[in-house]
Amino acid sequence: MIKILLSIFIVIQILLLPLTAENLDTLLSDYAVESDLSNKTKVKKIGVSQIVVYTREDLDRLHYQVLKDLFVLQRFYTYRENRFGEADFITNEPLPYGKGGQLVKIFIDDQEVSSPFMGSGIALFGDMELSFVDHIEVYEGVASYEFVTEPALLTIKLYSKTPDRDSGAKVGLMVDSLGSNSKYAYVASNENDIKYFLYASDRDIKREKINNGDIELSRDTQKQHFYGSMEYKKQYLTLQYFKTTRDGFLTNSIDATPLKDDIKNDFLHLGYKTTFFDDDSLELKVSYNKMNYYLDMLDDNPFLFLNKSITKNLSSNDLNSLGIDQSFTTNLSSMVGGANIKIPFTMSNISVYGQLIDREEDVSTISLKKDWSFDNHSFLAGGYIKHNNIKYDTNNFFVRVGEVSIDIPTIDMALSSLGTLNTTIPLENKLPSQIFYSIYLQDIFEIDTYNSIIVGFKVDREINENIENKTQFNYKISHLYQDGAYSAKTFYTQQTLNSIAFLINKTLDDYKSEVLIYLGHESTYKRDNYSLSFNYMHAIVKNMFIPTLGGVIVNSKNNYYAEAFSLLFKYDYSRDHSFLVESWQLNSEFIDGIEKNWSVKGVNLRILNRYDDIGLINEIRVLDAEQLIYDNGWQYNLSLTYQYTKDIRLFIKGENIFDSLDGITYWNYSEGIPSVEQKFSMGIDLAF
Amino acid sequence: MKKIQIVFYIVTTLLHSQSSESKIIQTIFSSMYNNEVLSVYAVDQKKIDILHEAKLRVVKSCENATIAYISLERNACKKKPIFTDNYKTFKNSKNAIGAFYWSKGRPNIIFLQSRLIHFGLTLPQELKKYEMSHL
Repeated sequence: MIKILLSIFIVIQILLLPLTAENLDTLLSDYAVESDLSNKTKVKKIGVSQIVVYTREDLDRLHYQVLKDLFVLQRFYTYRENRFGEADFITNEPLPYGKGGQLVKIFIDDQEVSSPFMGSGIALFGDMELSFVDHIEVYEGVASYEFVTEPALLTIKLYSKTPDRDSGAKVGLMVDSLGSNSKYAYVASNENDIKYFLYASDRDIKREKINNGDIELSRDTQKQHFYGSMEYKKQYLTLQYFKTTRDGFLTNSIDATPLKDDIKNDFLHLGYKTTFFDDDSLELKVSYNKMNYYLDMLDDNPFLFLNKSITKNLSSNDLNSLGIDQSFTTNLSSMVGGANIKIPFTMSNISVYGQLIDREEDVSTISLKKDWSFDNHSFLAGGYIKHNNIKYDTNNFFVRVGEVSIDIPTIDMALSSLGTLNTTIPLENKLPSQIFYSIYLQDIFEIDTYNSIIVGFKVDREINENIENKTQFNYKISHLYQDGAYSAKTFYTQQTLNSIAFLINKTLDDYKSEVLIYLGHESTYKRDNYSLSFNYMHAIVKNMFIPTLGGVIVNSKNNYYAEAFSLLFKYDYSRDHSFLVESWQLNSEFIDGIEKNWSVKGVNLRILNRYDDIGLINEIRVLDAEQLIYDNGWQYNLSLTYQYTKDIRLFIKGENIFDSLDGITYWNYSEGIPSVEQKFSMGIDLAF
Repeated sequence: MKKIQIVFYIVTTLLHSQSSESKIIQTIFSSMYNNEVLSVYAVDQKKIDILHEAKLRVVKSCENATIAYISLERNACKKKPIFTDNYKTFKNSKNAIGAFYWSKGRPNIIFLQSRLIHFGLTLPQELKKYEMSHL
């Protein structure tokens, strides 16, 4: 019997052998998958975090155009937009910006790209195009200090295409049914000692317009982007610049009818990385980010009532320019002895109906880290110094003053007949400069073949200009279990969030830092062609910042709780056909004056098929939320790619094809507005 | 008989568990030289490992080699056919008969007809599609 079975095996092996030898094209595509750059990630990193990896092959097959496309099917932090039409996964209506934005970090080629004002780069890069990207890693919850050192709930790491893999040139063009167009080109060379990758794109993105009475709400964006990387031996240099001009959508407008909503962004990034020793175990990184932000926003109704009086020194000439009655200013001028003599006016009952910001931010970082192994321990130690600067050329509220008073009785009487006063008041820049000194240490201890423990500790010294300096402590502990096809990871961390200007500018001086406590678990059963995974997350935010009606942000006395879980099943039923289905739920609880509990349930389904040169992608997203801060409803996407030759690829794509999302209900705008509109696009990529 | 069967089974199983890269190298070299016993010269350890995995004999001297599998041109290999993983070497070296390299985001295989002829080599039918008449 054994002989017969053995003979059958041998015959099968012999029959299969010529197939291997003959089909070199198949071998080449197998090799492309095997040597995918993200494999380094999988082998090295997958054991120490809840991570979703989009390989080069995944991105090629999925043909996602922008980062937004990838997050549509993301569990827990599914794609959403704030009142400014920006990506903001942890948004918190009615705040214009989600304060959770600070908990989403974006890195490109291992260098963080962020705005120091917001503490995150998600608003800037949420709609970033992916044509220059090789692969993407998405870390949920606790990641090793190797990948992110600051507190984060979601870390997105993009890796650009490399000169070694993508030498040559490529151009692409895309148009869509809303009138958008985008084009890109890149060139890469690895033929000399200095290798380079240079990329440029120009995008004119049109979004669906929303008519609110006579006002048209727009999220249109024009964006020019350059990305370049250079390699020389172990030296890596990156340079990035983009310029964005866009409309502000609902803005701060209380009734969602802004009269003016102009926004401009410039962003410059310079990054340098090098490694030392044969095993590259010592890494030095230096980076510089500079951003200019311009906002000109005006409304007919006030969006904020300042709960305080402001004293402003004004002369008769100043009052003339504000349109104050001429007889009053003449009278005032003669009383104080000149038209340019300033006297203090106390203003109260102030309502804000516009804002003009011209802000410059920059952040410089130098970091060093070293890893080494000893017995069953893998250590990682590192530190960085980061310097943030925020400077305003203009930072004004347009206000309407209901009451003006002055200590001179005769003038005071005259003022009472003037009615309201339109003027500007400068806003505080409470955090113009910050320096962080941070050190961290992490140990991965392999207890036995199956179990590992990871322990990490980090200390930040935060030197703040104008406000109190702080020392923050962060720690994390994780347990990993791996036994054949089954693996389990459990994470616990407590992280104190750094002060960011966006929040600090509006807080009282005696604020407490927010603290994020996170417990996560992932169990996975993985066989050759299928896997089943269960994810759990429990997060608590202590001292959470909440806004008051007077525009001040205070610490909540109550904790914010979020609990989420998901079940994911992936099945590759052949080399060219696979599907993924995931069901998830997120529950939030926050009690502070008004009880805010909500729950959102989602189901994601993705089916990938490939028939020779034709690739087919079907995606369905279903969302059912109690609060309408999610795109309730369902969404169906269909994408078809045609590999005309090895160098030419065509695609057509339909997003939200049946226009079946109810959309997000923004505060004071009752109609739902989908973050993903019904849209049909087509394009071509051409390699040289 | 049973022993032979077991040995044969192990060998064929090992072939199936090879990496794609070594299978590609094995297919190319064996096809070019019509399955004759080859001696391949290589320098860097990664290539040596791949060649070993492909069950090809690796030699330390280019003079004793049938073909060289190298990234950069070497003086010792001036008279030997070169197969390279570097497109620049393939372009510039007159001995480079073929290359297996990354470009445009995908792995590529290329052979140059005139250089194959120079070394008296003919590609089998299944590799003809990778042969170019000029650069």
